[in-house]
Amino acid sequence: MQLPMKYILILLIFICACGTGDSDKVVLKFWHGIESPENNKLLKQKVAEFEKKNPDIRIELQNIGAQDKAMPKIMTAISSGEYPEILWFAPVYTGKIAQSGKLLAAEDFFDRGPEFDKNNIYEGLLESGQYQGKIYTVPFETNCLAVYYNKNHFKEAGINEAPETWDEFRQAAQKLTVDINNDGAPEQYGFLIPLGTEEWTVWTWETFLWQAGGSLLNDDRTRPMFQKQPGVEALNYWLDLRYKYKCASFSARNAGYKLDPFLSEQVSMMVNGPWNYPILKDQDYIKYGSFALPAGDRDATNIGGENLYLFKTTSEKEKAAWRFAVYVMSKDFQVDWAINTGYLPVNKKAATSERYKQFLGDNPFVRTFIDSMDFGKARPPVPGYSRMSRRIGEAIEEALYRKQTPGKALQKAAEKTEEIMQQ
Amino acid sequence: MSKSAKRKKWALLIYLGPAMSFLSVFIILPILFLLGLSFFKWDMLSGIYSFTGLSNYLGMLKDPNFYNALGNTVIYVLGTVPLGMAAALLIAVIINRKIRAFSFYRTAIFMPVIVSLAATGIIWLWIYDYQNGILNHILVEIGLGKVNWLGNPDIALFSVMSVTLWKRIGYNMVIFFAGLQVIPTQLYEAAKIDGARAGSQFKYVTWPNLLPTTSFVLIINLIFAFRDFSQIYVMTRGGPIGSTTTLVYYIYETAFNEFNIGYAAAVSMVLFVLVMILTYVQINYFSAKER
Amino acid sequence: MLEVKELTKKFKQTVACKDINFKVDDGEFFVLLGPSGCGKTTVLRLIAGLETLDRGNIISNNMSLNEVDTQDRNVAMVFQNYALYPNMTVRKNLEFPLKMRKTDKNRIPEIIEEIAGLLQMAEFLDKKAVKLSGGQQQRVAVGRALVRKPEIFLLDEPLSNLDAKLRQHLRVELARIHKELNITTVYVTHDQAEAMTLGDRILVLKKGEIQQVGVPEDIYESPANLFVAQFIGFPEINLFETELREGKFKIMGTDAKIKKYSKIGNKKVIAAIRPEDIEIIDSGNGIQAQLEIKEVSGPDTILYLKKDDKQIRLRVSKEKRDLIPEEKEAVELKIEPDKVMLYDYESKKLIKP
Ligand SMILES: Nc1ncnc2c1ncn2[C@@H]1O[C@H](COP(=O)(O)OP(=O)(O)OP(=O)(O)O)[C@@H](O)[C@H]1O
Ligand SMILES: [Mg+2]
Repeated sequence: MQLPMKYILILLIFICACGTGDSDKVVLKFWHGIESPENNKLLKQKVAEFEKKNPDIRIELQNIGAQDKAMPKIMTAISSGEYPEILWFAPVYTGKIAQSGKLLAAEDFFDRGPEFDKNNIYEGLLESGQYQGKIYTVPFETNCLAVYYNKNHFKEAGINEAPETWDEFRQAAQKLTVDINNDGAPEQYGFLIPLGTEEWTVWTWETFLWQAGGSLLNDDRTRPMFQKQPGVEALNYWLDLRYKYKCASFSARNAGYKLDPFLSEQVSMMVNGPWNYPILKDQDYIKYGSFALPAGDRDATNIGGENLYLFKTTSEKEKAAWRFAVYVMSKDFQVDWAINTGYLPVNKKAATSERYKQFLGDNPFVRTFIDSMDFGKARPPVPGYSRMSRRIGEAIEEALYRKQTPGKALQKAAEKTEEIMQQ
Repeated sequence: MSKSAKRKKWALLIYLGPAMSFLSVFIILPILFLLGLSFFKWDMLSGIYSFTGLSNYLGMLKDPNFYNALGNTVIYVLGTVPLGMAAALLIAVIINRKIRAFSFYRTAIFMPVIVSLAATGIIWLWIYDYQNGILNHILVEIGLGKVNWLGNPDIALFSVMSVTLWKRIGYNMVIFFAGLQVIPTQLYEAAKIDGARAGSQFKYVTWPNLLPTTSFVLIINLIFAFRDFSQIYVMTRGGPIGSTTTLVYYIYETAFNEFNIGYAAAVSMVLFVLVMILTYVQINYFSAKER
Repeated sequence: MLEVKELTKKFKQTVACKDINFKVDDGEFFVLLGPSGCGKTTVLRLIAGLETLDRGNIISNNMSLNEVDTQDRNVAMVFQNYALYPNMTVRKNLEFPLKMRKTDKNRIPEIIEEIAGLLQMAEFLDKKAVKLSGGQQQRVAVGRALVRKPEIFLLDEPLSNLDAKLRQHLRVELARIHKELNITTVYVTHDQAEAMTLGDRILVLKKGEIQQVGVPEDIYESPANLFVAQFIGFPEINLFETELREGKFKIMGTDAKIKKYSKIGNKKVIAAIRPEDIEIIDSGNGIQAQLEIKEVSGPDTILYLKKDDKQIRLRVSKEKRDLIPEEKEAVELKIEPDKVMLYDYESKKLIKP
């Protein structure tokens, strides 16, 4: 009887030793969908720095793949209780995920520690993580949309000033459309319309909706408004570029964010975000530049980025997760992150820091986006956003394929949105 | 009950037991669960279930997207199954005749089978690409215009079906080939001596002896065709304007983009019953033929 | 008439048959006999056109068949394992060659009727082929081959898969059918008894080469070489190494003399004598040997004796049965020198006086 007991004991010790090398640490799972290898490397580095400063916390990174395809995975994880402590995800899903009851309201932590000052964070960004009047998720990084343009094409077309209105933009696109071999099908188009039904298409289109003076929902976010006159105008504007003035081409479906047509010089202008700056920087911005989206009735762009979602676990873990969130929103992290990735800082102190200002001076390409933030708007993080967005996407596609007039397509989408909102 | 009969019953249980419990845990229980879900409204996230009776099924009757998906599924199945089987059979018969000389082609045709469906989709996404795809390059090269293979709602479904065919033919061929190898060569020799040429040999020797294989391939192909998802997910996401949304894709969409789990379950049940009926009819038909 | 000239076929390294020459007269029942693997099936398949030949000629009715497709050869064949169409009924199997050869539809039932009568298949005509017994399948296979009255009828060991009794029975049937239809037949077997009883003439094959062609009596009574001598006959022929000197030689310790060999020079030979040509006597001055085993084989008795450490085999007919002693007892033997055949020690060929 003596001998087996001894072995069992040794075995137990062995198992313990292997299983939890740092059993005294708080382990936080952090799910994210950062795609570029450079940004992944940077994240690892910054996480290591955090762990050094906080030796009692260990962060386990897990990449869950491209964001627009991750939703089912996250939903399943939440409904089965296998969710992480921290999730990196677009703020617009805040409402949807908060509905599950598993999400922490970040606002409850705001006063629990000296390091965090809510006033340093852009107010608009905090609002983008609101659900039922309370801030649930906090910004990790932000960005917005502007226009990329091909400098050589502009020179060849004799365009010296960035177009500022819809009309100027359309005229520029016309000039930039060139049929080199006169076969009736231009080899170079002025603009790239992001075809598809997914979020990228809708996100881009929303800027045009807002420029035309419209909005997605009414003020108390209970009923759709995008089907009204400004929405129809915005959709018609795209249709005209394509069919009436024939100065825009369609992207591959659901691939409007891909740079290929732009870099291969098949289109001269496209809508995109600041995060591609590392690629364009390599060319010293000789070939490519950016300017703010043109104004219709008014200026508008769509604010994006990702927020941190903190989930209900143990109070120890929740506290640790909040510490990590505070670290992410800190000035130092934000400056480093922004300078290396092209994303925009969420912290005002970071944005006005000397280092960042110098960076902007060297990178006018990124400055366009910072400036655009002044008239930026975020999508309403209502629980039904993703479903509404899909309805709008379908309407846009039907209209672009001319299977339906913009008015009717948007009207149909609005009716379905009504149903969604009532649930 | 006699002793030996009792023993037989026990033996049956022991032999079938493991398979039966596997079936019930991994197949029958989920189906029952799905059936139950189809009477509820549930969005997966909020723990709120509400019993809605038949309303998911009644909603389906009025849902144009459901009919669209059903129609696409019918086109998809009718377009891929018979053609995929006929082409595979033809190739298998040709290869079976000259087995050695053709070993290279055999690998070439089998290759698509090993490549995963998702990878297949990605390869074809590139081939079909409007601007830079190899297919359009060739078309332009030979003086024809570009075709928007995946972007044109009138063509996209057929482009996806072609990829399925490309993949399925290899799979079917391997099974047919195995079936052909089992047919004794002497039967062909006897038929030759009796005066049968290639056509008659196929009709009287190959076809009847291959019937069990054909029946298996047909059932498998139908089930596959109803289930095909990856290539649609990777290549078209059900679009443009729903033109490649089949029932399975529609189920995915409603479940994981709409979070309308109950409705997705109801559509799944319709699909399930459809496949069950078809399989049942086929098994009856073929076993009657064999008798 | 079927004529085969210099027929040669190789499978990679294996020579399946080499320089085979023979003629089969119209209506003749010609048997190919040889041990397993000697190339019998290959010869048949070459005649049917199921294999392409490396060299040689196959001539039927003065026309070369070399370039003619199997389908057009008007040759029928029964396979060793019958190769019936498993999914068809017996009737469909029988109709098949007729259908393929575009026989007048109205005549088909009548032809089937006739062949079914000939082969006594009427009661299972509408059964599926797979559900028949071996003997029934064999009959259907023969029927399917004969139904279109081929010019040449090939059978590849058609009885080898059947039990002894059925084999016996069908052998007689085959002989009867052949008599009735009188079709030129090439019949392959490794069973010498079958060959002897059925064949008008027999061709003995060894490793793809012809050993002897002749009527059954010749093959049995004067085998052309030791292989044929040993292959044919049961029990195996007795062989004795000895020297031939002026027509005299020693066998089992006694001198023997054969006049007809007296002109042949002195040389080493092998004396061969059939088991039934050694007699048991009780005169007291015969050759002494010891009986080891006795077996009853029908009316005859087979004896295995021992003499100078050598086995000697005897076949004793019913009349002499009384002379057989008990096992382990001594026996007295006598040889009729005229029945002894001599083979050249080197070439193993029959020495012809
Ligand atoms: N298709 C083939 N490929 C290679 N070798 C073959 C082939 N057919 C026959 N052979 C070889 O040729 C030789 C003769 O074969 P064959 O079948 O003619 O013999 P057989 O006399 O009919 O034998 P059995 O009495 O066993 O049927 C054998 O050594 C066999 O292995
Ligand atoms: Mg053989």
